[in-house]
Amino acid sequence: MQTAFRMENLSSGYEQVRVFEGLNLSIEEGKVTTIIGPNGCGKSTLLKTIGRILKKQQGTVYLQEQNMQNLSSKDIAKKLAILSQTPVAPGQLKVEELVAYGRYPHRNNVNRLTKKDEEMIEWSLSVTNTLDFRNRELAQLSGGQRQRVWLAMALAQETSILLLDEPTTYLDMAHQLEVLDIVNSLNEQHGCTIVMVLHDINHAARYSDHLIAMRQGVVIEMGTPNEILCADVMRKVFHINARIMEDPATKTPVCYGYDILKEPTDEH
Amino acid sequence: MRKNTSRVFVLTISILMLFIVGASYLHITNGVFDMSVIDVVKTLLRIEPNPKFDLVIFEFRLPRIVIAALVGIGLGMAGVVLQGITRNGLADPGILGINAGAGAAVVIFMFFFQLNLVTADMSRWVSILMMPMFGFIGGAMAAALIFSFALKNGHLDMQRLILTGIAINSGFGALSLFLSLKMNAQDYESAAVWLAGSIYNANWIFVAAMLPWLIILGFYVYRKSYLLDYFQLEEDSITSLGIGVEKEKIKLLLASVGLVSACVSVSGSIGFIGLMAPHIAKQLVGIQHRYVMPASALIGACLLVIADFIGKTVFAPSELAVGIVVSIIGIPYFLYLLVKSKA
Amino acid sequence: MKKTNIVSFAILAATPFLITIVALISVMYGTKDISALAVWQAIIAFDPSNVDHQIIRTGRIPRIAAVLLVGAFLAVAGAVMQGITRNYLASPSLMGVNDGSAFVITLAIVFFPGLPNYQMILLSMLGSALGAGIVFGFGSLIRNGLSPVRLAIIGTVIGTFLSSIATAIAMYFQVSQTVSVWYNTKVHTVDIDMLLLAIPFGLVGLVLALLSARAITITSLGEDIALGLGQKTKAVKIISMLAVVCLTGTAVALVGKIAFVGLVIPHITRFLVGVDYRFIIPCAAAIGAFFLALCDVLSRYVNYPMETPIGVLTAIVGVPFFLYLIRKHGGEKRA
Repeated sequence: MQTAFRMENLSSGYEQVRVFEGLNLSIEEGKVTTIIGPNGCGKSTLLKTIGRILKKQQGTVYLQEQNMQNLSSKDIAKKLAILSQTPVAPGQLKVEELVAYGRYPHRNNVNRLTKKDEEMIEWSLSVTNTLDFRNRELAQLSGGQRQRVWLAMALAQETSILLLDEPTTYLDMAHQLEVLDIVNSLNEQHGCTIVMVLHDINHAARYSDHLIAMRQGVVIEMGTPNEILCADVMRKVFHINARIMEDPATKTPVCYGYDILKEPTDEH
Repeated sequence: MRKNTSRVFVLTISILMLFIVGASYLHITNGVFDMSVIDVVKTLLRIEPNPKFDLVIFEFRLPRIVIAALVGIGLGMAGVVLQGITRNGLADPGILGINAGAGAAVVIFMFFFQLNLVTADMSRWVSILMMPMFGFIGGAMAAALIFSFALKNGHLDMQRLILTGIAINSGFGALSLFLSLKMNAQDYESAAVWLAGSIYNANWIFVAAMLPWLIILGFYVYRKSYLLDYFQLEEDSITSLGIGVEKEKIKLLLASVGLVSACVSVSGSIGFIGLMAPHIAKQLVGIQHRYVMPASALIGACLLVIADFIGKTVFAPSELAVGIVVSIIGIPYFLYLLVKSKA
Repeated sequence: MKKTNIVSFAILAATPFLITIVALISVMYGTKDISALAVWQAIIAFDPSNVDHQIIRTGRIPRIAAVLLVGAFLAVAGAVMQGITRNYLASPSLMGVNDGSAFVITLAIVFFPGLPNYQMILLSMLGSALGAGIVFGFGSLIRNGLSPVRLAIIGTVIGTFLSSIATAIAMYFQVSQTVSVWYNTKVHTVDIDMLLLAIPFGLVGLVLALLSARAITITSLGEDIALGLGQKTKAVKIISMLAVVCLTGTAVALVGKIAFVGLVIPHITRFLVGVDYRFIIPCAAAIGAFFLALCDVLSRYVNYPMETPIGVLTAIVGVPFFLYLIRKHGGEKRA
């Protein structure tokens, strides 16, 4: 098994606040791995830290068995792309121009796009179904369209690893699935390694090979959707009594109802 | 689409050039005594040289126009860089206090070297060439102060940025005032005139002093202007593209401080050009910075030549400092931007 | 509440003493040092032929009196503004009040030279109102425009605008020298007649401020609360704005623009005596008077024998304090 990421004794956080400490974790290559957990459990912090957007405080991250510390930011950008939670760009920017930004790590001549650049942009637009409005300005797009454009920009980076921080926030139900379906096809057809943070545990179970369940900066459990989406783990991670069954259509576990735990069996 | 943008760009640049030539024409023919175009052309082309015209054109009017244009170019470019790296449309070297920092450093320099700017002559050219250097130290100090105060949890807080600028302006302004009062009467006079932002004492030494800065740094920021496109995204996205955000921002900031300092050391503090020029440029050529940068430079030059012409003629024979003319035009524009801006 | 009482009475008891000392220093020392005895004699047994007596009577006493009054006026004006707008950056110099006043005085000098002093004071007050009106009017046009930071930005920029226009006008009519005097403080050339005239105007402002102190305290808790408690918020705002206009108008007419006193002193006072404006206003007056007198004395010595403009001194204290406030509060709303 090849690992996309391997973390050794990793600690990270913001300014004075430590979010997690001494984390040891591996994420497999070629799979979809989703980090789940309640608000503030450190899932986004973990994603940002392995995506080197947030400086780690201690420990080592190996990206495809190479110490990330020894890689330049530009080299990393050729291996992994990360899409942050609520990205912003000027509204007058055209879709195509934004997607072209994703070519930055591959560009030497900054003023002219090479044929390869053009091809990658074309491919990114077509995979994300954004070709139709490639000449429109960002301000004219709907939320779902905009999210797909951002995904296209990350794809234009031409990386084998994609980190997505809650890619479905603020989208309605159909648009959420639209984005996740694109993610799924990237994994299945192009062999991309996907690591993402999702709020919706049902989506997480349906679209992932592996789940990592976190609470208060600690990885409580990790495994296949069937291993994680069960009453026991849900109790420990979310402090809920979850009612779970198998979705006959997708053959994945779904949580169809839940109650708040009366007496939380806190692990501490 | 892309072809269209570049055509607009070429058109804009040509029109701006025409404007500058037009303004320069007005500037060079009008003054204490008016000259005809033919006189000017004849003098410039050395046909029938007339010593009186030579003096007026080569020693007074031409250097003044050249300085106005160069200062405008420098401030226009610095404004683009500052607005780009702070992602704040209200950033301007004057408002942020970089002008005041560079100004105070130059006053300190004048104070210690007894430099009289109004009657600068050739014997002092070494010290005049040093002035942008001193301005740079002061400007960089102001910039460091501003950014250390405006940094909140690792991000620049826009409102703090401007407020800190206000504070830095008052602080360095008070320092300059204090020092200039300690000077002897003649030096004081020259410092006071200079602080108000004026270029009517322009001469070729000043041009020589600022030109290398402008060429080197101007070329540098133009080369780096594509980065400003990326800086419109938020920090996380830029980092994920593999751009060393902080390092690049500091380099660009220092370059713009250098540009501003070179301008301030010859013209004193002129605000609002760095604010207006980039906005107008973006209106004209779109948001791609490799177009915005040169357009803004030319708009700055254009604005300053026109403003200096107004300052020279409107209350003739008394001169209105060009800095004041620019403020009177620039502040309503600033307020207009404030009204227009959201949040 | 009780602690507040004690602190504020201590301040009110101690400041007269401190002020007397500063005032005495101010009167005795300067380009020519004069003994305490001579000062005393100049006050009780004035001898017009004695040069020292002349200096004291016509120069130094008016000067210290003006400085004390202006310090108190600006501090109270700042306190009232901060309380009523619930804006921690509100102050005459940041909100265009000072600039408005200096602007109108410039116009008056240019277009109606030789106006009697009382008209100058009235015009100066009109200018304060104008400056505040433009700044607050503009602020309410913009979304979020009344937030502390935005208002300070607008105030500063409009201030610069007004002074640029004033400079241009002055240049045109070739009276820049006379005009620059109003923009750069001129404590050393205080006009005695102006001083005597200014006192009643300023006192009106002080009394208005004190009368509305209770209401300001309630307003500073928030407009909704004030309304809920049955306060006539409009009336309170008008009266306190009137107080601010009286106070700053008089101050500018007397000595010109002085920055930062109205910003810094109210903060220090609030830190010492708490949030009750019945105590804040008198204490701010006392501390402001003392502070400006101290700055004035220092201004004669930092660059002896030349005098340094008092504004440089207030900036030395004010700028770091201003930066500290920004650092601490940022863009938040509460005063």
